Amino acid sequence: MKAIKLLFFSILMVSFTTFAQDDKAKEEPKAEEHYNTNKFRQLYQEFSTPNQYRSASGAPGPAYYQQRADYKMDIRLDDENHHLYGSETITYTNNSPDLLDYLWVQLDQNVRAKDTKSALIEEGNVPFATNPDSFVKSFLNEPFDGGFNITKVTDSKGKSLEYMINQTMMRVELPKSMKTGDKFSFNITWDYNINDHLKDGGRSGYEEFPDGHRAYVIAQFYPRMCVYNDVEGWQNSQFWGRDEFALPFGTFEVNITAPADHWLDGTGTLQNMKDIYSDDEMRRYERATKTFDAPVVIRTQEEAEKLAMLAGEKTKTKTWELKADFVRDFAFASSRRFIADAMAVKVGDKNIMAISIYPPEGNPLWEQWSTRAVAQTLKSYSRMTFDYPYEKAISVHAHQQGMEYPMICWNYGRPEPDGSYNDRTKFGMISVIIHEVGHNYFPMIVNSDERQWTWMDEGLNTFVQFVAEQDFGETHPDAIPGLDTYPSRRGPAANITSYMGGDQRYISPIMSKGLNVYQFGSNAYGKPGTALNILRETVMGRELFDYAFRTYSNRWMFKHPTPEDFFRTMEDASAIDLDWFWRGWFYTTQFNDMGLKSVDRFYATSERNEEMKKMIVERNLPEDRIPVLVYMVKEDSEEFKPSMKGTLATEAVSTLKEYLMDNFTDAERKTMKSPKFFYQITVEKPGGLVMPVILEYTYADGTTETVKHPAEIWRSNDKEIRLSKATEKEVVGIVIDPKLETADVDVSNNSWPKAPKVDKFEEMKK
Amino acid sequence: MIKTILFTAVSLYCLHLGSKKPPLSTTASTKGLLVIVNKNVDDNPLVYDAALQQEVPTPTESNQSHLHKYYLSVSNVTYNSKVKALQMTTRFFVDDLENVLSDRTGKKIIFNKDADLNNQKTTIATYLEKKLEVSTDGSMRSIIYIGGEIENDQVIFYTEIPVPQEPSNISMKFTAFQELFEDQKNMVHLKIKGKRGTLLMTKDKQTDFLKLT
Repeated sequence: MKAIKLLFFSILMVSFTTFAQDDKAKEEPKAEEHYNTNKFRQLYQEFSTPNQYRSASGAPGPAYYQQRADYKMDIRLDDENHHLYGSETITYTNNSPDLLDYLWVQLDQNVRAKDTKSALIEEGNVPFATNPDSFVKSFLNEPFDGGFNITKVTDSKGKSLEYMINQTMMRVELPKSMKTGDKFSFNITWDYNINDHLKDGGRSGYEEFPDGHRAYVIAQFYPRMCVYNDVEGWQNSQFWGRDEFALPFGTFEVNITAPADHWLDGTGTLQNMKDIYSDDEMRRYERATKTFDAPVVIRTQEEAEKLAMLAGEKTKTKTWELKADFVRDFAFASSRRFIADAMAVKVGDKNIMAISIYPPEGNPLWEQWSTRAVAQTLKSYSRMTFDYPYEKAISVHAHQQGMEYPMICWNYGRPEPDGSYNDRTKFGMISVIIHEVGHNYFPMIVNSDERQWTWMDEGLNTFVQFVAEQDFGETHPDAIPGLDTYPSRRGPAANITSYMGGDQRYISPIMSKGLNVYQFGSNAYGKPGTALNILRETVMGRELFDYAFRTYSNRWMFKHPTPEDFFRTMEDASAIDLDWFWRGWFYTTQFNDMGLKSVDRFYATSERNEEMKKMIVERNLPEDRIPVLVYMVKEDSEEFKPSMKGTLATEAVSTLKEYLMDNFTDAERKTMKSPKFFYQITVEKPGGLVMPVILEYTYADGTTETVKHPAEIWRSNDKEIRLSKATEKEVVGIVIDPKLETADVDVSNNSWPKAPKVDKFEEMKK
Repeated sequence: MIKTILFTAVSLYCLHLGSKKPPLSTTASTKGLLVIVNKNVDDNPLVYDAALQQEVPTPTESNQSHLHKYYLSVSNVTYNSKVKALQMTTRFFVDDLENVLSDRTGKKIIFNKDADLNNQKTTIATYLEKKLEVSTDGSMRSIIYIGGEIENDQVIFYTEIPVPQEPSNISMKFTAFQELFEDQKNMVHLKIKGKRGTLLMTKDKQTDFLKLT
């Protein structure tokens, strides 16, 4: 009997639904034919096909290969003329299965050549008013000539090699094609004018101080090999000035000759430390290697200032010998005005040296926070990825710079001349140090292609930077007086909403080449960094995310990953289908906006309600064919009686009670819920992005309950979803995303009852 | 790489102004953002507009570094019939404000938190009264600074201009920061009587006017 009744009931319901649809169909135009546009469809069209080089799991495949470039260099820094002379021997190893007829070498400084095309891809305008120095710079000055002067390209026997320079790329003809496993050594001799990076811009150069002495931060200073791999062939996309670099790994042996009174440091191990450091400096350095709680000053401010004062005539030179393995690049900093301090950091079973180098202008900020920020970065990033594999990490203070290289980086953050500074300068400095030191992990070790995908290092790095900044706030409460947490600019979901909700004409998908995007900072740093933070905190949870993120980092440590390798690994290691997330956040410019459209309250009754009565008439249903049903009455309907409110459904509906008694044991009945209130909740989604629906229910007794519906709730209706909720306690309020973790660009529609609009003016008047 | 600057939504706005393209619709951003664009002729000018929106170079620094700079403040004005006043929200960069007020008062003024703004309420009010003149329907109106708050590297000022009824035309002279930055532009988006319009004030054209009927 029961079965028959249920069958009848379901037929009744199906027919009712069909009827409703027929009715609707008359009003609405017919939907159009279409391809699969479901937001949860897999990314088969967007992703490249997995192959022997790159597996579907996101790991390097069995045939994965990468090329190798080893460098031996002699560099002379001519301080007086701010000019750099170099000669190098590059030994290139072809590990690819391909035959190579020529090599491509990057000449990054040519972006600063007099005839650079970079200036010609920028629009120009004649401003209605200009200050004189801008005017001079724009219209009167000859452009600075800072391109490479290549004087010799020869093979190992000194025989000239044919080459061709196309802007920032140089093609070197091979005398004989390189087969798999072949090595080829060749020499390049070059020189160039070093730019004043404060005047002429650039990621490297020098700053001249009022006393005439200079601080050099030197990078992209040598012809460097391009990457050749299975996805790009030669990555020889020109350096226009914005998209950064793609570089193969290798060993660097670099001898740098500079004025003897300079403090010079760079990528790698200083081989002749004992010849370079004074006895005092050596002793202090030894102490620093055993000091874990505070930086030890190796060259003091007093000593640096004295050296600057004494220098006058041509000084003697010294040669610093640096050697580094498993690095993709090399950079160094040099000045007689540099102060240096260092401390040891324990990472895994190794002690790493955290080092800071800064002119007196950086104090008092730099002596206090730089090395500590470096140390925190190494600890936090190592926890999130892998143990820092190099022996040291240096933070150099260069005015208005923020740029990363293996083991060394340049950072801004300068107090006023009187030594005062505001919070923004202090936190800006700590944040940029964490960011640039963090770049050791992405892209210096997890060596993604920056020329093509800015977000792969900047976005991932911005995410871990957020984690490290929060750690820094916890471990250094004295750095954040009056604040509960470190004031991170990027990471929290709420900070990205003004960008994502902005004018769509000026937003690019993250999956774009960096050169061509609008709003570079938000596109390549802010949005991907925030996306990963949301993935960790809201979509995957820390345990699953952290495991997957570490898996990606370790799989691609010292290798060249692509975006798919990241996307695939995050799914492979977590069993969470994230295609919808990658599609929405990385491949589109969609934003998240959800709203509570309506909330209706219902109560259960055994009395037939209006809807049922109407259906009986419409279908002409015989009375004896109508089964026993539980009816729901809306609170604001005419059938609603106040007595319904707060009555147990099982009490109010006698037939339900009987049904329970007939079909369940006493013990079973005791485990059942006993709801009194029923809610029909409609969530609308004006935004295109699909995200989890987080609902916070507040009950009459003041308690709250949060329910998180996974994003898949949107799989069959992208515009609007209906949810039901049965509760024992009355619900007095519902809020979507109460903790602002889904980057909802408009939260004014997120509350029921509707939250009163905050009038800032009235608030301010209080 | 990280180098200085900014909020690019509106930086594009600035570039557009600079390149004399038609300005974006005034509905583009209801949140007025203020922006400095650093133009660097050597490298790609947009290279340095990236990254951390921190450390906006002070004017002195930028002059030394010969960077092209554009200065812009963005305000939004609506009429509130309940309080019978035009209500104006204005965004400035904190650094610019610190510089201009420190220079004017001869005291070092630092704004780290909202309380710092409260402590300087008179200084700020005096400055705004001096730099902002509003007349509606032919009458000069008074400027009442209500308060301000800091949001990252910007301050948001709330100002009321009592006007007995929703005005039909409005004229404004807004010269904030023009004593320090020659290129300073002050842009005011209006939404009055259901109509939208924008006033743009520069050193050459200190007053702008809009008819709303």
